[in-house]
Amino acid sequence: MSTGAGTAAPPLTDDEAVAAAATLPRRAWVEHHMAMPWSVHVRGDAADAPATADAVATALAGVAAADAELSPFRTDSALSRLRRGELHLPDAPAGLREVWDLCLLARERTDGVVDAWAWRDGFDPTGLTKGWALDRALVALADVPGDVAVVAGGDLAVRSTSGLPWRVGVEDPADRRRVLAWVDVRDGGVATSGTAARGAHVVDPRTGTPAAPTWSFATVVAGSALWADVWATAALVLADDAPAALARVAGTSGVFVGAGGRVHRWAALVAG
Amino acid sequence: MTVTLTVSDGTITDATGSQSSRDGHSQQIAAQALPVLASEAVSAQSASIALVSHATYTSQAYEQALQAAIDQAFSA
Repeated sequence: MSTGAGTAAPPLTDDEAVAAAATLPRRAWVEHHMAMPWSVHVRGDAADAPATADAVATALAGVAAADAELSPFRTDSALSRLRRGELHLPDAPAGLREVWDLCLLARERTDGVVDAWAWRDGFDPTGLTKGWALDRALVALADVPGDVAVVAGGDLAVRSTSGLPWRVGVEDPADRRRVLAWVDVRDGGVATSGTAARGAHVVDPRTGTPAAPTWSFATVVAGSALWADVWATAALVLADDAPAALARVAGTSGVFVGAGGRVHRWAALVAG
Repeated sequence: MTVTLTVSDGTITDATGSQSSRDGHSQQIAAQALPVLASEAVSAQSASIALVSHATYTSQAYEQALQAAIDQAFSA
């Protein structure tokens, strides 16, 4: 604590901040929802508090409820009923209506590169549902005093109350126990979109044909998991146009990895 | 105003927009940090990784993934 001019400590380096964060108490909870493991990590003195465990349970119950409402694999979900025409949007639950509106926004902001209506079976928000649920879970944990991270299926939403970062590794597809890059995130979301090692295509919704396979995967950091998801998906479709496009999206950073070791990374800066 | 530094193979190859000025008129803020590339794929432990992001491949095996090990390390 500084009490006057010249008494403030110099700011920590990135590595010092990460090392300091590693000394904090930390606890994780794991549950299975949306056919994938969801984990919540709390860092700080509240990690072992009973109230924290309760808040985590509540947040994950919210994820379960979102899955029941939005799963395309459940015939009785609101999404499935909407797709079959048995439910109309004004009568749909609030979560589904919110996801619909966010899909509209995503289609607009990506100029149609991400389009939840471009598919044969109708409205399909699955690319956004996970990010939306991650962000909602983080909000549900707003009263937990500490640093919080919610992780699901390779995407995550984090916040830092301590000011110390979460160092997020980007997994090496060739060796899932190793990372080939990392990024320090305090508040925001991280998502990675990728094609399988062999043969999988990413379809360009604007044409209905496969996108150029410029990048084998794209990791995007954004202000929320939802928008990290949207832009990571968009990047694979945009292919060679992705670097220029993402450079114009304020508040993002990330890394694209392509064939032959080609790498592109950026951090879009915003005027303060 | 958005300024982007394009880094390719460790070299800044393009910087568009106005640079930050010390007089405070325009100050660059990076809302999110530039990712750091590992010189070779390194273990999460040696790089002090707290969390891991990855693509969801069609044959997903959570148990083999790094995040699973991290989750286990901190679970009760």
